[in-house]
Amino acid sequence: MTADWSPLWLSLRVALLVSVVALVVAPWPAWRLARRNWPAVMLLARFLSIVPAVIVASMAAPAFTWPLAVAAGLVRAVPYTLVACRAAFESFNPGYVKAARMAGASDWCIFRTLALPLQGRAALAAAADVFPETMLEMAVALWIVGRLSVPPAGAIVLTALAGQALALWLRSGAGATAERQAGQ
Amino acid sequence: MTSVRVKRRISPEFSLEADFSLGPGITALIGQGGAGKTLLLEMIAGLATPDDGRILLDDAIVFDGQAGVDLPPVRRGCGYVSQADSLFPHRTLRQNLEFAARRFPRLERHRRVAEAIEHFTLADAAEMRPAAAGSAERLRCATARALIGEPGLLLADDAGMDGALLGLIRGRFRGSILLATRDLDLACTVASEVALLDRGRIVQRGRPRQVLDEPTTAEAARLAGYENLWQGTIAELDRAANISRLECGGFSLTVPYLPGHLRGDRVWVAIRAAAVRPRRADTPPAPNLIPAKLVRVAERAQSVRLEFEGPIVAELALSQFAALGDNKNWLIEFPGESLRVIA
Repeated sequence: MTADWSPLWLSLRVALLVSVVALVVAPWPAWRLARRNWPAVMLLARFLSIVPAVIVASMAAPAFTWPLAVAAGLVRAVPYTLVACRAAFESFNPGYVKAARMAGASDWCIFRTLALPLQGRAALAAAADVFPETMLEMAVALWIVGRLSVPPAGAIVLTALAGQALALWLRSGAGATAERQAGQ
Repeated sequence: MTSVRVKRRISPEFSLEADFSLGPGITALIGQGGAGKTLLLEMIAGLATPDDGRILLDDAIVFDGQAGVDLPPVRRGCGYVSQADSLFPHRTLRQNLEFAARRFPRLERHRRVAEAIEHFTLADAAEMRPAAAGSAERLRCATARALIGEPGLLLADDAGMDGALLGLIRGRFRGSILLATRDLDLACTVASEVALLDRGRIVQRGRPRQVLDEPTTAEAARLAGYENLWQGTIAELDRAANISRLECGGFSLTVPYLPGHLRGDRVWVAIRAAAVRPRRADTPPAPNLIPAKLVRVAERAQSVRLEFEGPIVAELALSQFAALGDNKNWLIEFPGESLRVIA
């Protein structure tokens, strides 16, 4: 009997989409939030970023589809990436922002031409964190509904670990970038 | 006309209130760390917002708290060189200059960048990133970047500029310069006016020599480099003999008659370390000659700094110190003409 690998492809598709969408959507609001004091927004984002098992709960929906799993994953992934990116952007050298503002650069221009090239690795690391978490949560959800056998479960865990390793590598690289900036 | 009247409260303990105008030359803003120099410069540049006040640059209102005018930095016509190194680390020096000239059409941008590179002798380092360039080149590039938009006012925030760089700037830029610095020698050499900033207040303004030689408050004396500053009481006033005697803790000093004062008035007495004259203990008695015990000797490149109990600080040339010998007990002479009495 051959193993059913569809849960692995499903988990990969959902986790990759969630990570990419979070990476595209979160950094710009995070940059704005890093430069303004909006405590209510940050409180909500922090709360959503720790809400557990949203994908598992989405399995209870009468018509479960993979886009629904993506939407459920984003409920936590976007706020999580936003909070992590904001922390990275807060350490961005304010001298660069001032110099850019003196040159007439808009906030979007500063974000695009300075913040992303200099702190982009930190944003990537935050999105890379989302990937293994979503993979593992998909595995739990599929296991609960009885669609997961041992071989794809092992593959999912291994892929999640690889994602975690990537996140750690990006994070250490992001730290090095910040040190290079400070040490200049 | 360029005039600044701003008010900003930072905390219950610190607020900045400044009201001054800028002439066409270099104005040196002298103050210790935390006096508010950076904040003041940032408010003029438009990088920080005052709570209230009015800023006029070249007769144009760029900020008015009452009327709600607050122009963005790029429309104020200011160049700003920050205290910290703020060149973008992922771009070459040329690209940093191009970024500053980004609002100009392409040909104009190229012309300005090329001229800046040539004038500030950056040709060899133009294709380097800031981390690979030397600190002098980085500072020249930051200055060129601030001037590339041809501003009317240059704000330089304790950036480590020296006389040579300011000379280079003057070769290209004829507007006003507000130079925040702690370097009194530099201020004296290049500035046409000096303003002393202490804890958010301008305590004295004027020509450099006048401000440095005639401080009007104890804070101004401290900022003007008077290391010996004591509070004393007027013990004797003799108009006929043109003498006033001041009791300063453990010793008394004789200075010229102080008009407009009464016996018992509290005053400050200041004298520069270089004006204090240490003498051997066997020197014959003279006015303003007091015994003092040496506490510490610190050698400098060209001089020796002596710290006595009191505390009294003296600075003398290496040769003078060698001639006097290293003794424990000394006599200290305070020449009357070098003593400054501050009401």
